[in-house]
Amino acid sequence: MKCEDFLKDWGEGKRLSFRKSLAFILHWMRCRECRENYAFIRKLSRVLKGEEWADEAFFREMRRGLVEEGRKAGVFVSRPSSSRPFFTFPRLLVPLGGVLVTLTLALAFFLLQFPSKEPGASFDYGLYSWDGVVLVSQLDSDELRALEGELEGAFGSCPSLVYSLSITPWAEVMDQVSANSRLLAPLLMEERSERAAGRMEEV
Amino acid sequence: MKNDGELISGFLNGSAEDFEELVRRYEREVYCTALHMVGNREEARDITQEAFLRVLKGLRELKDQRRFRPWLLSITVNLARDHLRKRSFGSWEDDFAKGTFGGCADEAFQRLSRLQEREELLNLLFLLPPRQRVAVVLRIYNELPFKEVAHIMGCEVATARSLFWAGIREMRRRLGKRDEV
Repeated sequence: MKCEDFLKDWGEGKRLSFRKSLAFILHWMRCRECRENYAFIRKLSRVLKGEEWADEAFFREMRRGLVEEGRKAGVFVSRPSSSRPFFTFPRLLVPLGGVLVTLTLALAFFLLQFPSKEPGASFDYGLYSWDGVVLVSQLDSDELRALEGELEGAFGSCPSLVYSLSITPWAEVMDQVSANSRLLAPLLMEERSERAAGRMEEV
Repeated sequence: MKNDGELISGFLNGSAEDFEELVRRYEREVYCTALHMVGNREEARDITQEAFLRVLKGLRELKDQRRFRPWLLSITVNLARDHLRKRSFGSWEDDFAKGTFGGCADEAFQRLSRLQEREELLNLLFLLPPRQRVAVVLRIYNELPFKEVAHIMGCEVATARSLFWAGIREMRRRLGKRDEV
């Protein structure tokens, strides 16, 4: 039997049966020519496949030319741009993403700015939850500090009011605030009257 | 990623993008097959271009879309054969000697450590008679089974197989001779 007969099935791209594989291996072990043929084919295959001589510029130009040729011959349908819907999902994704990012940044900026704790400054103070913004009261910085202290007592230690409120579920915040409202209200009243008395003395 | 059948269907419906993708998928294989057969870069480019032009004109007539690749390769082989027929047999040897082929291969060759072996093997391939060379390239580079090789070459499977082995034996013989020298 000729060596190439053993490679016949390989040439056909078939899988060898167990019997054939065994025969092939036995032959392979004995036959130098067969091994050398196979090694040579592998080597040639590496050489032929290893090249990368084709240059991309030529291919690009060729494709462009072919498409042009096809257009001239009327093979390709050129779709009018108006027939395509402009607001397709991927196209909408970009502006929507932009709007979302802007809103997030604006909110983050707002939260970082707030509250300013300059003494005597008066500002609207909001309790933030994931559901929205609720204006609790108009407090000055001392009142705010007092409120912070109260809420800190209610919620445990927290670095900042905004932080502690923003991560606490809204329902829980409301429960805690209403539970402490009796304590909170006299405290604020006291502070206000003390300050008013101080101002009177200065005058 | 679309398969060949989907790209062909797209092309038949008038999509230039699908046709372009189909060309992109096979341009390198067509070009290299032509280059291995004619041994000249410029001619390989002409053949590649001509082959895809024929695809553009004739794809509608292809009955079985699964046979696209063998069909494309048979166009390439026929064009390469025509090119070889048109010029004298010696001219490609001249091209090779002048370095046309070697020159274009330089870019790739530089990346390979075994430069001499590559040149030697390609030289041996180009010393084969065209039919043997076609059989060797289709079988080894394009990895086609002998049935396909025979179909493309327009001969019997046994003939394709014997042309292939004759080519391999001849190359090995010449390689052995050189080694002896």
